[in-house]
Amino acid sequence: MARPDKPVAEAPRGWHLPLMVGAMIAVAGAITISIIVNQGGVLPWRAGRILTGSGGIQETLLYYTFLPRVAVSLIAGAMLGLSGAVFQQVLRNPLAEPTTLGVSSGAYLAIVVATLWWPEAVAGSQEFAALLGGALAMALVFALAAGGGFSPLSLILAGLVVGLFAGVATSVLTLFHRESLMSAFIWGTGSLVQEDWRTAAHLAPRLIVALIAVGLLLKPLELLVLEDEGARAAGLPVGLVRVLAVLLAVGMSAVVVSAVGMIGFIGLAAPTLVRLAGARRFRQQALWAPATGAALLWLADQLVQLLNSPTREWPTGIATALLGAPLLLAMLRHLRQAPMSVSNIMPMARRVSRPVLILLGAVFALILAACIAVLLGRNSAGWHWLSMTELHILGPLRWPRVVGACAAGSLLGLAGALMQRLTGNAMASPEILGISTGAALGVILGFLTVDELGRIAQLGFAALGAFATLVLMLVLGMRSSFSPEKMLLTGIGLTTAFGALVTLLMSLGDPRLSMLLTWMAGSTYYVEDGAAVLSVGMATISLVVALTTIRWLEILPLGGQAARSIGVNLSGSRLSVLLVSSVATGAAVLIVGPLSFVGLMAPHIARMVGFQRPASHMFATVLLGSLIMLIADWLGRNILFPFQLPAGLLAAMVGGPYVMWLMWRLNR
Amino acid sequence: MRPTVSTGRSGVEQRRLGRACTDSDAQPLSRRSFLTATAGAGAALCSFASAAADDKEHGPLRIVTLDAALTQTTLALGVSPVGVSGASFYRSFVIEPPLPSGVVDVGTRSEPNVELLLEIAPDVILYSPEYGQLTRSLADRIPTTPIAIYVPGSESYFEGATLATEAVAERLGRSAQAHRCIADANERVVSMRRILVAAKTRSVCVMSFLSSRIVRLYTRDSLFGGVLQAAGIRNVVAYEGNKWGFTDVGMAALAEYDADLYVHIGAIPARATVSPVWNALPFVRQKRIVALPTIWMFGGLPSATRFADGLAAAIGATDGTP
Repeated sequence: MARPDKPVAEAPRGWHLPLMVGAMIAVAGAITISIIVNQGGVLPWRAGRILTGSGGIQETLLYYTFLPRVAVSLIAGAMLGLSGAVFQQVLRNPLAEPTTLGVSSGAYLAIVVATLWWPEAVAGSQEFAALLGGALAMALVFALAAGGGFSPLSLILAGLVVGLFAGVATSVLTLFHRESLMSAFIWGTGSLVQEDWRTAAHLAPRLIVALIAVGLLLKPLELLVLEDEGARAAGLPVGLVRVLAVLLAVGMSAVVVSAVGMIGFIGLAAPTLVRLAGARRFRQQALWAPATGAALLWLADQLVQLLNSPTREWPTGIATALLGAPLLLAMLRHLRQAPMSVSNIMPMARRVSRPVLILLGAVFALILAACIAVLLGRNSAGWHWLSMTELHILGPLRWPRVVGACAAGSLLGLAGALMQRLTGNAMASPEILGISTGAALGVILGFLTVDELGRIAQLGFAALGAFATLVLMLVLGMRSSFSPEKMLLTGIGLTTAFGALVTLLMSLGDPRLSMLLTWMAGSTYYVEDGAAVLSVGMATISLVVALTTIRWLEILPLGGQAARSIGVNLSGSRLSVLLVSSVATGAAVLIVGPLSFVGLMAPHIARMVGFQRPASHMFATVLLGSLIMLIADWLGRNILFPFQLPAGLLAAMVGGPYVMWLMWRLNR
Repeated sequence: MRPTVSTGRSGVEQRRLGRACTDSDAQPLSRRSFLTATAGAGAALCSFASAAADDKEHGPLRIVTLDAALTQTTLALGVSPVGVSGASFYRSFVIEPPLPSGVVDVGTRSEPNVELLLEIAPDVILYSPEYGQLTRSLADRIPTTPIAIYVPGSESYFEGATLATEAVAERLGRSAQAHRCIADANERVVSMRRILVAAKTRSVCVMSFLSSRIVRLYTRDSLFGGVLQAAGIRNVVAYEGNKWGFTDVGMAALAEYDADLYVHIGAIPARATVSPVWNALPFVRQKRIVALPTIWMFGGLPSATRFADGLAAAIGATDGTP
């Protein structure tokens, strides 16, 4: 192993690095040896018998499943660690990894699509599909971020949006094809189980190529630490270096992801640990991150195997995700203030001249749309308007769903408007804040712990999850006066962990899951009159409370400095706004699930139409959010009749592309 | 035709006829190919054909089933439901007894379309409470009956499925058919046992590959475990798995189980069969493994007999060749 050069000058605590990696290797190695010795008492050297053809089943298992698994965990870990180090260097973002760039989600979606429509092609090689999907997601992210000169923020946001959208598309497919997708689910949980040496042999040369490529890019990448201007002044083609390095990192992660599945957080954890241990220069990180990644994944996988038995196999990807979650939180605590600059990219459009008149018109339009949504629908014979007698029978079935959808839409819109005002960032929304994710996590937790989870209990768990996330955000936020950057990063982290849990859940194959899945996809199916009335009440209260924060909302987007100079209590005002938007999000998630992009879309469209002042913007957002969800719910109930598409999912299918288009436009 | 929401029967039946006509006009080919495909697939259980003829004269209960196991059980009792959830899923994964083509698909199991159900206006909706309760808006408007297959405290899945068959029969007033059905199923299990014992097969391991590396093993709480238990054949996967009767393990774990016969549900993935690990497993070397066609693991008695028949036939086939 190479030693860090100039240890005294560059890394005062240089001995930390070998110590850390050495400790992990020692523990992992000890477990490995104990497993080998314990399982049937096979000694490693006896594996050699397999080559001479004299081995029994124990030797075969050792040689063809256990050892390749160790090899794959080492190689995959090294590649993930290296790709994470490159990502974080290029994006100047300590939380960058394949997941945050949407590469993993894109690859996963491609696997699912291929499994459904080209099963023959996928049978042998999921690799190609995954590579294609990952590359497409990456291309999309690049296209979206190109206008922003691949600035760290625009890349991360584009990656997040693309990742979320790929996740939504995957959900739609799994809703209707769960039984055909078991192998894709298993791939999604990141299982390192091996049946021969093929995967290891596939990965090894790729790691070597990647190491050489990073070696060639070492110097330009080190220069990237300087601000763009400085790097350019040093004669560096900044854009080109970024593209090459990102391509390399994406390629590495796509290769790993396609070969062994979704293994999260190694790409995040390895470079972070290396930095914490004192590696400041990229030269050191590029060397130690792969070593740490390899040791880390090896260790994680060996720990998982201790849990395994002939009766149960736990996926390694889930273990790394669960180990990674506390690490992520710890990192957020130690993160230096403002790791990336959130530029003010709020779209500026002309102002509408008569907001009140337009808003009144919008109210009428919404009422009209609601009437149509109740009266027009499909039955077994086709499209058809309800007669009065039919309204008497079907009305009570339809109006709670219409009203519930509207309430959820307005709550999400409201939360989004508040978030965007609060952060001065056009991309902020409850979906990205992570509150909606937290609510969904609560329900999953309830599902895993309680045997018979009733609807009321589900709501309770969702509220609990939203609240816990809120508290977490507040605790984390308190340290940084609720800095928008950290909130955004926390949200991204939660979304990532959430994705892993959902995949684990689906791979369990529990037949009760379909109901949970449709709820998470945002189905209004279970909204009945009581819940509908309650949600309208929640929406009204939230709107009224939100209107009391208008003064702050005028000032906060100007930035912390400006606000403080006017004498605004920064923490207090941010806290209040955050509280309102969190409660609103929690209430909405109970109805339409965590996935919809309405909280992002509605405030935007309202602003682009020309509602600039907080009060009118808020009203316009509420109306727009309602309208979007109403249309989504109505379409969802009818287009696939008698099957029903969840409203949240449908909104996201439209919302995802909208957000991408928006980013592309903003960045130009 | 101006459709109305009808609570009476005649209007719906009229519409049903109309739809049947347009269906056969629109897709004559797929219909025909479907019929040909299902005609050969397994003999219809009990007295399906005669009972169906019987129904036309006396007008039996019009029922909707919201779970594949209940759909199977209902069909096995000689009653064709007017509506089921997941018809296409049933045809590709459950298969037996064949689902008549006129049956309306009412949506997914977790979200059956309430409006369509009101339109069909069945006499009763049968659902499985294990997968969650129906909404109040549905339960308030149409009579519903929960029928569980995983009966708490019942000896095995097989007994649960038997009890469920009796419960469905009671609701439909078809106890005679249920007796025949249950007796028939038991008979087939016994004859499977006879064939297994004759082939000196006293212990079995039932599994299916989920990917080329991960295998699902069926424990005693599964449908397959239940059939084995009823037949007095030892299931080597002897511990408690999850509530649904299975556990997922890596391929290597198969070496831990020592059974006389290994049964794979569905086709074995090609990538798995070329693995050195797979080919080193003793039961693969000694060809003590058979693959059965797809069987729905959460099915009713018809799935259980499909398993028993399939296993018996597979043993019979391997027995014939040296």
